[in-house]
Amino acid sequence: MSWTLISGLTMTTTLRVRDLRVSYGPVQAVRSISFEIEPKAIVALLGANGAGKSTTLRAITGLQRPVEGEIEFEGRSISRITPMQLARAGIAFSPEGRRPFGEMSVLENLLVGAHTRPRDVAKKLDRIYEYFPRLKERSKQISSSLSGGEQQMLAIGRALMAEPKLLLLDEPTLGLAPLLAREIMRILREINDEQGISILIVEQNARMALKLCDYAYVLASGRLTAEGTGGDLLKGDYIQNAYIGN
Amino acid sequence: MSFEAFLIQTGVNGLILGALYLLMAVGFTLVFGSLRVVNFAHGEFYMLGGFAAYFTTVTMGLPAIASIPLAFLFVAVLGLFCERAVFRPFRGDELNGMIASIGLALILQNGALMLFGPMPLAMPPFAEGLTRFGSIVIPTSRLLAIVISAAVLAIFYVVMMHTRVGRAVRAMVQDAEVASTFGIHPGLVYPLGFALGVGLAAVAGAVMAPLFSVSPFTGHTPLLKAFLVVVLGGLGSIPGAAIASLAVGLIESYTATFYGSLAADGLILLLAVIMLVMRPNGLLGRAMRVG
Ligand SMILES: Nc1ncnc2c1ncn2[C@@H]1O[C@H](COP(=O)(O)OP(=O)(O)OP(=O)(O)O)[C@@H](O)[C@H]1O
Ligand SMILES: [Mg+2]
Repeated sequence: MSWTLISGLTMTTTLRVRDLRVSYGPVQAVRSISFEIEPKAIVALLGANGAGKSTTLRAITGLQRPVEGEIEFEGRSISRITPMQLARAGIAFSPEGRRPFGEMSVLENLLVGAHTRPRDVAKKLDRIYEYFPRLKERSKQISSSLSGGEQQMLAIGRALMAEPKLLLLDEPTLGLAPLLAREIMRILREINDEQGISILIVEQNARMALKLCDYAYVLASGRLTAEGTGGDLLKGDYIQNAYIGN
Repeated sequence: MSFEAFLIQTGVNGLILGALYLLMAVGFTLVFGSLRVVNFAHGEFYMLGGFAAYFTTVTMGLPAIASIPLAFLFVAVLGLFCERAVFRPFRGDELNGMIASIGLALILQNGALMLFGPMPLAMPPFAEGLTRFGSIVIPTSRLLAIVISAAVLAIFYVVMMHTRVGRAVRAMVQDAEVASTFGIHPGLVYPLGFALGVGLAAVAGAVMAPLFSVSPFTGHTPLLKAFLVVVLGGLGSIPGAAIASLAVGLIESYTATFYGSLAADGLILLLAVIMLVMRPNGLLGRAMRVG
């Protein structure tokens, strides 16, 4: 879908996924799902353990080749993209489990994030340190020695260093204390507001993600079972059904 | 020669051995880290580095100092071919990759035997004369060997720790999947890691060529010692490797001087066994750490 602005300018949908099917050998992890992300939107992909959320992100990033389906980013097909082309295309990924480069310092991790866009690194670092002052304090520290929350901040910061138009986040609040999780959510909102970066956030923590997002999809056993604005889904019992029903 | 001077000379020899082992161990570790393969052919690249130095200085008449970058370059390029032809088909298959490296070692060694024959070749030293530090006198050629090794290791360290390329290699070593999503190509980093690693072995071969001799069979001992250093220092730990290399070099030099080289080798193997029992990850190693 593309909306026509008052000026007559057309903005293409940031991400469009159509009939995506992904399998691991005989295991069908994602069975024909379709969804969209409008420019500058925060979209949540919710679902219980094993619903296929990470698999969907891995298909978008090129880490897992889909069996079928079409993925478009800003109007261009990225169905056959390789992970190496992802950052240059304008997509950055914060993986499940955060996965910092454990033997590198915080600063070095951030610099790797900027691998494809090494210009203006100092400016970008300043900006990320504003969002996450903790990272600045710890910039010389080996990343494996950070706390879970700090590692999450690092994973988001590292992704931002790639100057993405779309940020893919796999369970950024997993294992974090509620206060810290809420703080991360607040900063994501800020990043989205200030920089206009679209965000696709995968969460099990449905309530918190629904409060953050503009629109959400609920995934159960590889199928979409509900969708709607965050507010609508918070009111309805879709969430309950999706989690308890499977 | 006074006893004191004799002790110092033995220490210098130990440092030279330490530098040799460190060059070997660092390259070996880099290859292991980037390709996930135990490279049994690593010693053959040392041997080829020696031949490269011999031909550039003795046959072509270039200055001795030029032989080191040329040996590095020649072997690094050869490494690119070997990575492509021998190791890439076994990517992600550690066991068969290791077996392929044994095959490669046999091919390189026998290739050298066919081309150059079995006779050891002697190379002139980097420099004549002696260097004095007060009452201490050291042959300049030996001093140069230590200085050149240290300089090459320092350059390598700076490249790995403080350049974009070095960071990319280390990121790939630590998490290939995540590194790839930031635009780092495994297809570039793997050959680069291998070429750099065997290039360091070639530097060792070129630096040591004037001190020892050049023959198709010289690769065994440095490879074995690199193994021992890695066991003692901890796989992937560069500081651990540095300490272990110097320790092994010095222990070997002093023990060999007073009790013979058989005792020296026995002692070092004994140390390695004790280390494996007491601290299986080595002096400073953690499980599988590279960087
Ligand atoms: N590498 C794999 N090989 C085989 N099956 C896999 C693999 N990865 C995931 N699966 C299966 O695919 C399905 C979807 O997994 P996925 O990781 O996408 O779920 P998820 O929604 O991200 O779950 P979680 O909330 O636990 O992270 C599960 O049934 C899982 O067991
Ligand atoms: Mg998951």
